[in-house]
Amino acid sequence: MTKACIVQELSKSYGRLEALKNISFEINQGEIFGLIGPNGSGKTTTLRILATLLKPDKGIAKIFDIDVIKHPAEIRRLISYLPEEAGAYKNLSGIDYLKFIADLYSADAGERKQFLDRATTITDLGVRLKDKVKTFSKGMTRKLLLARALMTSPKLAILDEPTVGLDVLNSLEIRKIVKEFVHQGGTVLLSSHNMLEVEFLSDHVALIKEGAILEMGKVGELKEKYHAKNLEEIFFGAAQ
Amino acid sequence: MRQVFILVKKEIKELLTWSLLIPIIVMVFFFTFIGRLMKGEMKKASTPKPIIVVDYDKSGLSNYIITSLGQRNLIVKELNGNVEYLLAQAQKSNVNTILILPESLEQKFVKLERPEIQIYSLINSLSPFSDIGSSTLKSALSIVNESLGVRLIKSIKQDAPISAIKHPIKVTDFVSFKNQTIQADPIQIKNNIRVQNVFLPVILLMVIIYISQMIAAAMGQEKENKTLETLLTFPVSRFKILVGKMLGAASVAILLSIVFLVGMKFYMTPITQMGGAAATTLAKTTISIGPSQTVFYAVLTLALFLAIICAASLATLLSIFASDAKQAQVVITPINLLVIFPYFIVLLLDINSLSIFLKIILYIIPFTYPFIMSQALFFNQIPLIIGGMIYMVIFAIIMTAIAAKIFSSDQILTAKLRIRR
Repeated sequence: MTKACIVQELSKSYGRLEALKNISFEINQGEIFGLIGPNGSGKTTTLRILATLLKPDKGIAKIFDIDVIKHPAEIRRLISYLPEEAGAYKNLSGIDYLKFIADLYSADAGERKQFLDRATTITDLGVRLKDKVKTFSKGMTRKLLLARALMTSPKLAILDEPTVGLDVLNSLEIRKIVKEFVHQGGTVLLSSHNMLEVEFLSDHVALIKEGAILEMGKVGELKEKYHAKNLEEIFFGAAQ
Repeated sequence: MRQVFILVKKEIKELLTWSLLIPIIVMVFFFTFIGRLMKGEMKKASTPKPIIVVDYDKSGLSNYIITSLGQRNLIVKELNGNVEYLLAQAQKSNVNTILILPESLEQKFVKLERPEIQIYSLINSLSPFSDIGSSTLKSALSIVNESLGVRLIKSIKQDAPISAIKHPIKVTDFVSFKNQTIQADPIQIKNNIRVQNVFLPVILLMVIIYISQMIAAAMGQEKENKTLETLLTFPVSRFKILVGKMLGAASVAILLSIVFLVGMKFYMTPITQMGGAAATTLAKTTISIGPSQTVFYAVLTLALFLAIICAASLATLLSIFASDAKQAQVVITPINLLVIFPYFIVLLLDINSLSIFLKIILYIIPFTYPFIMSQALFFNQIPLIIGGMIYMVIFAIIMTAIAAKIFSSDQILTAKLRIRR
């Protein structure tokens, strides 16, 4: 099976704080991989390294066999990153924001139209897309940003806490969009501290705490191993 | 009342942060420093000023005038020769004023024929303190004139012309500037040059502070909203993102400058024309001794443009350390100081009279050059103009290169101004 992402013994410190301690995991193409852990466990640092925003102190990170550290420009053509609680340019309308991103990604008018059509379908915002982003609710903004992240059909979508702060309905819609993206051939790496959400979405998960991976595998297998009913119980068992 | 007190306390705690206090404290130190510099200049200005006096009359009256000048904070150096020779001597010995007492001065005075004495002023600086030499001479001569008037009144003749009694000596002013000598009042000429140039530094000051705030606030907001984090993962080089940010802000600043320039032009035109025909003649005289208007505006526009680019590059670099829009105020404080410092120095003092240390500091600051550009143009200081332009370009390139280096590293996300609230 083709590996979408390989992480080997990755470490990163901020001054005296060790954010990541030799973490390793692999993501198969076409799956949703969930990185679960409490706040400050190192999830965002891992995602930022894979998104070419941070450089690790040591270790290897590859996306579709391309070294993230050595070839960040090539990686940026393959991935799409959605930061936690990110916003969009408030004075642009929703559609102008999407056009701005499409223009950056492609010089071909036909391809740009495809991006926009796909984004319009994902957001499902209708005429509200013509309104300024500053008038959007949190759920609408998140859908706009998710549409932005997925409209270019990245080979790997890196989503940091995609549903954080959203109500149940909006969270459900976001999860549906992510699932749909994978059905169409995409691969997703998502982080969350909402274990039930990850359990619902992910094929494989890695449990991370204080910069170290505690456990990794398919949710079903982990449930059996820890005699647990859900991921929360697995995490509790692994953390012991 | 207790609740109001609690609310007030919370508001003060919320508002009175180091982000607000640091710029205020720095400004207090800054103005204290400028005040000390001014004090030093005032002290220098109050020392007796040298003047060259040529006495062709060698009479009791000429001697009386020379003695009176000596008592009025002026050091009289007597010389002989034609005007060209005297101007060259004055330039050499750093004397800005020459007084010529003509032959038959006393004879004409007695006959109430209003003898004419001539003052030649050399314009070497536009600093307000550079006016002191000629204004001291003028006031000394005015006192002499009055006392001579009193003498005449005592021996009054019925048919004597009033002006000859009120001002028995006619004082004619000449200005010597860049090998040209014209009949004009040096203080009026300098004032006219200053009025013409006053709006450009003000625009520059406003635009540079505005562009710095704009860039820092934009970067702070991008970080706060995490739009920068998203932008940095797009398939676009970091350098292009940086240049895009800088040029975008610089374009807005240039547009603003044009609007301000046009607005100021409309504002200034009626002021410069307020003196009617006399003011128009004075303006024409000023223009005739200065650089051509096309060159003048072309150089100043280029200097303004380069200063905006410098400000944009420096603001971009500093704004990397602003983690939110509020911190943006703190990070641009150095830029505000770098603009205000040369602005005040050029406005109030003569750079040439400053210590070498201060001169070096001023010439390191890129924003000094646009402020001194108009003066440099009037004094034909071509190396300073070209050197200043080149320095501003180099400064902007270096700042952009440093910013690009930081932009390509982790620091764009991890660099923070470490100020505790």
